[in-house]
Order: sequence, then structure tokens, then C-alpha cells
Amino acid sequence: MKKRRRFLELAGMSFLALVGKILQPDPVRAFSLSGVGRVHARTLKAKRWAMLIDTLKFNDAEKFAVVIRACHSFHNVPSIAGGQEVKWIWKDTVERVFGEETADYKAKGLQAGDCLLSCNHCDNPACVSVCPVGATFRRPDGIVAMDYHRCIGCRFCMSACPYGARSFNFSDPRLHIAALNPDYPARARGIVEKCGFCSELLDRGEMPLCVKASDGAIVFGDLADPDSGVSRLLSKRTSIRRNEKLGAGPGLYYLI
Amino acid sequence: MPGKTLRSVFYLWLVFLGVLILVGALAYLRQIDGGLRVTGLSRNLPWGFYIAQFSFLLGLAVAVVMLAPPALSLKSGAGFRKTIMLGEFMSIGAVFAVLLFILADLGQPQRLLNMLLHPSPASPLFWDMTALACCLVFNLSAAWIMLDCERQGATAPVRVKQLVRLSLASVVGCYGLAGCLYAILPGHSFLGTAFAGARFLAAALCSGPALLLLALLLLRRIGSFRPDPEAVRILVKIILWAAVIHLFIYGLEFISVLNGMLPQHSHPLLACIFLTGKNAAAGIVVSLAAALGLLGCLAFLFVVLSRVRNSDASLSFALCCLLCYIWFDSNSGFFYGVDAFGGMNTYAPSLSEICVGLGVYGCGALLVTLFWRAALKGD
Ligand code: SF4
Repeated sequence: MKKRRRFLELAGMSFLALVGKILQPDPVRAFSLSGVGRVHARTLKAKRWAMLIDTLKFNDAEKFAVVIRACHSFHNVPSIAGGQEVKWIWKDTVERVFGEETADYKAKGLQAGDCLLSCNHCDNPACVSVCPVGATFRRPDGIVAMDYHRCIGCRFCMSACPYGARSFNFSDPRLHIAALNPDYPARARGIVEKCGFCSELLDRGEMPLCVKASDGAIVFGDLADPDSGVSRLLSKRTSIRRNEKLGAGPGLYYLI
Repeated sequence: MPGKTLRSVFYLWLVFLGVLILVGALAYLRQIDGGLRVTGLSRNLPWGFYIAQFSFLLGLAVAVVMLAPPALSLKSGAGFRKTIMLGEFMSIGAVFAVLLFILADLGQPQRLLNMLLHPSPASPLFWDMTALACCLVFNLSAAWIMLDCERQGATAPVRVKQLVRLSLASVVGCYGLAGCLYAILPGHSFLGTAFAGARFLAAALCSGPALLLLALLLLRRIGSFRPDPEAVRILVKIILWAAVIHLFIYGLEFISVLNGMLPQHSHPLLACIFLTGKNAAAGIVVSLAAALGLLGCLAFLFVVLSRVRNSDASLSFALCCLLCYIWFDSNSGFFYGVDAFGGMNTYAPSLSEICVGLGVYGCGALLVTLFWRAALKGD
């Protein structure tokens, strides 16, 4: 009898919670790391954030390692070996990354070797349109952000992303983090994650971690502003983006 | 067959399903405990066995729905309606299994309702969900109407028939939209043609009626039910036409891939024929392709040879081939995929995944069995 009453109480409360959730006028992404709501005095703002990676300055393995470590250790990205790995920023060979484009660009000076990869924060992100719950969304400033508390773990975005930028937590990430950083939340098992252009740092007026660790090899700024560092560099140097013919409009440029 | 043997066959079948469900439940508990790492999925091929079963079964459910209009419009006997009604029940079982496969596939199954709380029509998965819901509502109401007609000994009123047609269109439309799901996946570019939706629909129209017909033939054999010959005739006709359309579309796809030879289309195909994949597990792909080819030929024989169709035994065999063929076909796209870097990846379901899958199939079959048992009580 008691059990049944308890069950009814629980069921009633869950129903109320559900109704409350539906009636809520504007779904506040309270837990998202995007920090949309918080406006800081020093907040860095832009119309379209973009990142430039100077491939000529990434010439030794240590350089890659420093940048990758800076991101992964702060963001509690687990290090898992094999096919179920999780990565936000990583390196791969130019041949694999630029595939069909390589032949065209060799003439322009695209060096063989490794290059840095991450989420491209696309203009037309496939991951956003396929998400069945709106857990991945594009902010007005061009950052493709995620609500890790809404993700149901269907992995459609992973299949749809043409740049292989997304990772799924097949197992509990906490088991694979050497030193947990208490300043950044670790994710739960069973959800997808990726680079978020360090939006929480931008809110505090700081540049993304990889930019800070790169010693000038990565430049970050507003593509819509003709006077920004990225715009000026782009007008001066040759650059390529990954698989442009897809029309995704990646926000990551490679200076060659 | 005397009633007693029939009953023991029935209980044996229930025990068998019970074992399947138990195995599935244990494997699922293990998956809940350890996360999806117990599957064969990976960062490069994040979708596999569960999603393949999902689309196979959804197609099956949708296909059987299409049998309802003739059942409602034919003035002919209650036998026909009853046969089709069994189909509706089968469809309900399939929808149930689809739901379970979705749950099995999610990393955070407890958040499933987010799909309703934050509906996103831009996502093909939204249309999968809608097709599923339409299908369920449709089946329940169609079965109810048919039961009602039978009780009153009349055909359904015109209004009801129109309603049935309308909801049929919505089910098919949603399924078609959902079929486009694969068209936007860069990793599965072989599935990524405008044909994919149509091919899935044709495959579904084969598999649904084929499974129903197979089950009916089995029932006839063990002597518990005589399916209406008119219904059987219509089923065979539907299967035949759907098989022809499916094979035709398949042929067109192969030819356009081979003619165009665009790398993103031809590479996966050539890799599976000539083993050029970078992964050693490409063997699975080859055996899969071989099985597909063989079964496809057998299915084709069934389509052209009328003699095969006219004997029960060879018809059952042909139907089995056809079902296997469609099953492999809807699975095959998931066993290999090209990642964002042009690398060829292969995938094989882990034992745990297979066990969960068996359990889900067991649940669906159990539901159908119980429904059928209730529907056939009088016979
Ligand atoms: S790179 Fe992939 S994950 Fe990043 S925004 Fe584009 S589609 Fe989405």
C-alpha cells in the first residue's frame, strides 16, 4: 500500500515537472557551457569568430603536443586508446586532411606533414540540423555550442559531421582522466562532445587555450570585422579550408 | 494436428522467446552498466547494428500498414479481414521492437523524452519518430475498426476509409522523409543517393508482407489457422512488385556508380569488392557482399519463376531468402563507412550487441504471439 502511494506521488511529481518544463516560455540553457546569459564587462564579442592556423609555424611534434595538451588537460578530455577515443583538437597528415585538394595546393606551398584539426564551427553545421533535441546549436557569433545536459547520445551528429570533429563517451570519461580539473565539468558517459571555441574563456575576456599555447601560430578573431587580425592575415596570405565544396562554411582557416 | 500437440508447440515457442528475452535483458544490463563501450561501435562508425535493425523493423511496420485499405474496401469475407488484422498486430509488435532498439542505441536512454520536449523538424530522426507514432495510431485504429466491422457484419463506412487512406499517406510520407536520413551522412555515401528513400520503401514493402506470409504459412502448416486464399494472393502480388522495384533501383544505383566513378561513390563499393579497405576486418564486408549477391539472385528467381510461387514449401524457402536478403541489405550499409579523412572503416557487432538484438526481437515476437493468440482464440 505504502509502496503504491509512494509510486503515485513520484509519478505525479514527475508529471508536474514535465508540464512545468513544457510550459516554460524560453528554454533556458542553464547548464550549457556556452555562457550565453552571462555578460561580463570584459567579454570578447564578435559577429563571426574564426580561427587561423599557420601551418608553417607548426613544424615540430612538440608544438602540436603543447597545444593539444593545453586544451585536453583543462577540458577534462579523457585519453582513451583505440577506435572509441575522445578528442577535441588533434593532428593528422596533410594528405588525409586535405585529400583531394592536396594536389591543387601543393603548388601553392602546402607542406607534407601533420596539421592541426578541430571542430570547424561551420556556417551551415550539419551537426546542428540533424540533432533531434536541439542539444547542439549555433550561436549568433558563429560558435557551434553544445548543451551536454540535453544530449540523448543518439550520435546522429557524429555521423553527419563531415569533418569527424565529434567524439562519443562510450565509457565513463572520469576513468580515463589522469588529473581532473575541478574548474571545468567532466562530461557524463553516453553523450557526444567536441571543441566549443572556449566560449567560457571568451566570456571572461580571454583567448581560447590553444591560441594562448600556440605562441602566435594560431590566430583567433572576428571574421566580420575587416580590421581584425584574422581578416588582415587572410587578405595577405594564402589560406585553405577543409573540403570547401561541401558548403559547410568552416570557420577554421589554414595559412599555407 | 491435434490440439494437445498444438498447445505444446505454443508453450515451447513461448519458452524459446523467454530465453531470448532473458539473454537480451542480461546483455542490456551489462551495457547499461558499462556504457556503449561493450558494442563494436567506434568514433568513425558511430552507428551500427541497432540502427540497422531500427530501420529494418520500421520499414516492416510501415509496410504492413499498407495492407489495410484493401481489407477495408473489399466486400469479400471476414476471412480476408482477419488475415490482414493479424498483419496489423504484427506491425504493432514491430513498432514495439523499434522503440526498444532506439532505447538500446541511446547513450542516455533516460533522456529519450527530450525528443518530445524539444521537437526539431529539421532532423530526420524527428520524422522517424512521427512515422512511428502515426504507424502505431493507425494500426490500433485500423484493427479496432476491422474488429468492429466484423462484429456488426458490415464494411467500414466511407469516412473511415478516407481517414485510413489519409493516415496511410502520412505514414508513408514520414517514412520516406526518414529514409532520407542516410542521404546526409558523408560516411555512408553509398546510401547517400536520392534513391535511398525509395529503395528503403520498396525493401520494406517486400519484407513486411513476406514475414507476414511466412508466418501465415507456418500457422497453416501447424494447423491453427487457415489464411484466406485471396489475402495470400494479394500478399504474393505485393511482394513480387516490391521486389521487382527494389532490384531495379539497386541495379540503377550500381550502374550510376560504375558509370560515374566519382571517388566518394565508387570507393566504398570497390573497397568492398576488391578488399582495398585499410582495415583487416574487411573480410566481413566481403562475406556480406557475397551473401547479398547470392540471396539477391535467389530472390530474383522467386520473382521470375511462377512455379516457385505455387508450392508452399518452395514459396516459404523463397520468402526466407527474400527476408534474409532485405535484412542483409538494410544492415550492409552499416558495416563499412568512409570517415571524414577518406579512410575506410569496417564494423562488426559485438556479442553483447547481438544478444541485446535477439532479446528485442524476442520481445516483439512475444507481443505478436500473444496478440495472435487472442485474435485466433475462436479458431
Ligand atoms: S565541424 Fe562538425 S561538429 Fe563542428 S560545427 Fe561543423 S559539422 Fe558541427
